[in-house]
Amino acid sequence: VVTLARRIAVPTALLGSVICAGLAYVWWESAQHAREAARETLAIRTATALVVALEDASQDEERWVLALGSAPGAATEGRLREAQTRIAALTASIDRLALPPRADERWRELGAARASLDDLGREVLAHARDRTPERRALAVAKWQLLSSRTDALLKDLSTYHLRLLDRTVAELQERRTRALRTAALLLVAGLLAAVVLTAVVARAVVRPIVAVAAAAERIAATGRLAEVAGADRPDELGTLARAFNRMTERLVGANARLEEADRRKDEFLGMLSHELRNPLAPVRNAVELLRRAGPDAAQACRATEVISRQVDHLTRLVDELLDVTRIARGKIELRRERVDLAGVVARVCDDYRPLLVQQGLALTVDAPGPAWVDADPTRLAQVVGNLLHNSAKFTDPGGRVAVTLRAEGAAAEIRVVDTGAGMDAETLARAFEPFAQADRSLARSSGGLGLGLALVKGIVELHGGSAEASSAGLGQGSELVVRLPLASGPAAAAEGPWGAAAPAGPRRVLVVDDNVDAALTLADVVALFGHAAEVVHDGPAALAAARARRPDVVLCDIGLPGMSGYEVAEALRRELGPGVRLVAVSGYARPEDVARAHEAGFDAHVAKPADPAELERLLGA
Amino acid sequence: VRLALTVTIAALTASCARPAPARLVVATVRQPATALIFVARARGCLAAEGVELEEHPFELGRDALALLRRGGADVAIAYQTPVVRAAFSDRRLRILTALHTSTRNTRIVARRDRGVASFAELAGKRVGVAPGTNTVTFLDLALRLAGVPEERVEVVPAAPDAAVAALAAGTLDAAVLFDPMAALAERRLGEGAATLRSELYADASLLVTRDDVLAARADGLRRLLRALACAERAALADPDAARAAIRGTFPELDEADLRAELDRVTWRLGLDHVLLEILRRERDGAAASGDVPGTAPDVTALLAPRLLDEVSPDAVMLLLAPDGTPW
Repeated sequence: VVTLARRIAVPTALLGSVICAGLAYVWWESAQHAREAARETLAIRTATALVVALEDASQDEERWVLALGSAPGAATEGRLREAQTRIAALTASIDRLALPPRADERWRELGAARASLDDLGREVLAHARDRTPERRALAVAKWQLLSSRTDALLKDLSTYHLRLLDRTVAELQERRTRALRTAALLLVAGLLAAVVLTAVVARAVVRPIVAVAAAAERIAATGRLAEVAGADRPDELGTLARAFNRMTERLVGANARLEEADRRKDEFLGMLSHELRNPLAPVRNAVELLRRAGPDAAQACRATEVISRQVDHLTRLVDELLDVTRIARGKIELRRERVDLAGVVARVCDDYRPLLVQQGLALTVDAPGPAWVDADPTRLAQVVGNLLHNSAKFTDPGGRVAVTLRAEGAAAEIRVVDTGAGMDAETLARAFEPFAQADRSLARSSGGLGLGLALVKGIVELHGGSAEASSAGLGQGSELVVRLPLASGPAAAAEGPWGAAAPAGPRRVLVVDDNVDAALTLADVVALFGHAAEVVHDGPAALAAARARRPDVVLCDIGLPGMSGYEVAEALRRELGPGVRLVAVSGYARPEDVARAHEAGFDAHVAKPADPAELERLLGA
Repeated sequence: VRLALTVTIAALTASCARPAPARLVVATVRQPATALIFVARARGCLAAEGVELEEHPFELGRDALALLRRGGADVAIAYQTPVVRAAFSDRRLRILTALHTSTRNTRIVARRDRGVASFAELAGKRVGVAPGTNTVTFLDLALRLAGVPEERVEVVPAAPDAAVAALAAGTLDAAVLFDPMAALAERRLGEGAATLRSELYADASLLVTRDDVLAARADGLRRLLRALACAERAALADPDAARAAIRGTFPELDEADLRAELDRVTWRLGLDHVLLEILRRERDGAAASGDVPGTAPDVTALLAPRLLDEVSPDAVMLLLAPDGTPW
């Protein structure tokens, strides 16, 4: 595998090896030269010492030859012979040396001259014995002439060796300088090569990285996908390019989805505003009717029904929103039990039949039972209700809605078919997405937030099932199918989620809410249920009232000024003990809010707007 | 990049180009002893060093030296005697190197029929010498060694070729000669020739220049010395080839004569104590004779060893001061 590390390491190692080898060679060569120079120096020193000694012996010889010329005698002859013996010994020593050619040539010349000098020496000795001064003086003169030549030859030899020593030292210095120069050149060349190598590697490494950075800048500036070249490289830069391209692809896709989600959120907020305002208009009208008409008038009766319907509608909207959020965050909690799906379908169809009939739609139900499933019956009812509600919304009067239930194999299948508006391919693809509705225009006829089918899909999938939609196109009606895994058989009889409240006598109820209207209307409802209600608007007042009158039940808001509902509950629980029933009545209705309320000491939690039936049950329990 | 390439190519071309030829005027003597320069020419050493010689041949070094002193030559070849004698009155002379040394080259060729078999028997004889040459010094030494007073010998001034003819004619009893004239005389006299030598005498031929030439033409002289060193190496490696190379220079000698004459000399570049000793003895002899005008020179100052030291360090056997002159 070709990697950047190898690309960098191989040339670097090669370069380092070449430099090290070069330096090692320089070192080895210098060491060799130093050894050679040491040997040469020793040889030169030996030769020089012998030649100097020979010069000394020759001078000694000359002294005794001259002495013999002027005053011959046995002692002088003896000294002369001693000097000559010493000369012979030194000559033999020098003969054994391996002299350089030029010195050896000079040494051979000296040998020949010495032989002649020795002959003349013998002549001097001969004349010394025959006592002939003239002939002796002539022999000494000849000896001197030749001796001066041998002296010159000896000087040449010693000078030659001194100069050779000089040259050896100079050569050694020159070689050392050359070695240093070579080492310096190697280092400089190595540094230059390293710089070039660094530049090449930097170019090879940095350029792709710069390209990645430029691509990142382009993406940051335009938000559009920009690919980095070099993804086909087999090295780490190729890996980087591929990873970058994948990352940018995903980020750009995610960004597009986020933008789409943002756009849909804005649409949803607009729609939500519209959907929330729609029920408020009839409520306001109904309130006005109640104010002006007598309590027993038929108009008041209709107004009460309008308010009730619109509050139900608002509650449904809010519940759907919360459910979608819970499903999306995985916080929804199913209360599973063995349920006959046929029963659920029949009951919900019965519940919705009046609505459908009211809209001029014909509902047919084909749900032969039983079809047992392990499911939360409330959520199943919500699923079927949402399917029917969806058909009711998008089917014009005169249309038909058919509900069938089949248990096939391991799955139960609920199929809701209508003859309504149908869906085009785009709508069909997003039918189960939250806030998705076919008609997003201001003129759309159907209300709602577009959460119904999203809830269907979320709840069904939580049960391990699936949901799908199909349509032949716009105006061709729709078909929604829900599949749930079947259970093995019937379940033991289970109690409903809401047990009937046991009748109870009048209770002392303390209502705590900073919203005066909310507090007073809740107190009125409590009074309607036959209980005695007292109203306070903050925590300290609640504590004071509780101490004074010991209520049986406290209905307490959470978002109180100064002292929160949680703190009030904790204080009441400390002071009054378990004998008092504490019920949180709050707009904070997320599961964590409910859990927090229980932790603070509340016995129950009711989301605003409180269901009167639920309230009655809690007061009666 | 283009400029750098141009400069590099120019520098390489300049470094590879042959230097301009050095033209030198040389006053030579046509003797086997001084023939190293002819070897250098014949073996291509001069051409290799880019030296172009304008040669002025002489029979005697004395005459060659005279041309140098007159400014007619850059270098001259001469034996030690004319050089030292000239140095008495001419301090410009500089010896670049010795070309040969020999103890058998200069000798006395005598007629046997005149009873000359040793130096002592020169007494009362007519002996021919070339004035101003080493033949004078040789005769002086020979008479001294034989204990013969100079006044007992009739010294006849004669050029070598004239001396050979006079010997053959019998007008001279003996003559001091060197090769090739000495060998010619021996051949002419045949069995009647007596040859007297002394190993106490050594002659040396010298390559001499003037100090002004040395300063101005140092590079040319250095290249000439390098060519001579080349010839020396060639002769040492293959003496027969060296002899063959100069064969044409001595047409009057047959092969055996040339070999014999070359055997009596040793071609060797060098500046050393032996040469200094020869020069000192020459100077002292000349000073003692009283017939040389001028003052006795410091022979050490005659030597110019710097160039030879650069070319062939082994050939210099003198200790040199930092300025390149002998201590």
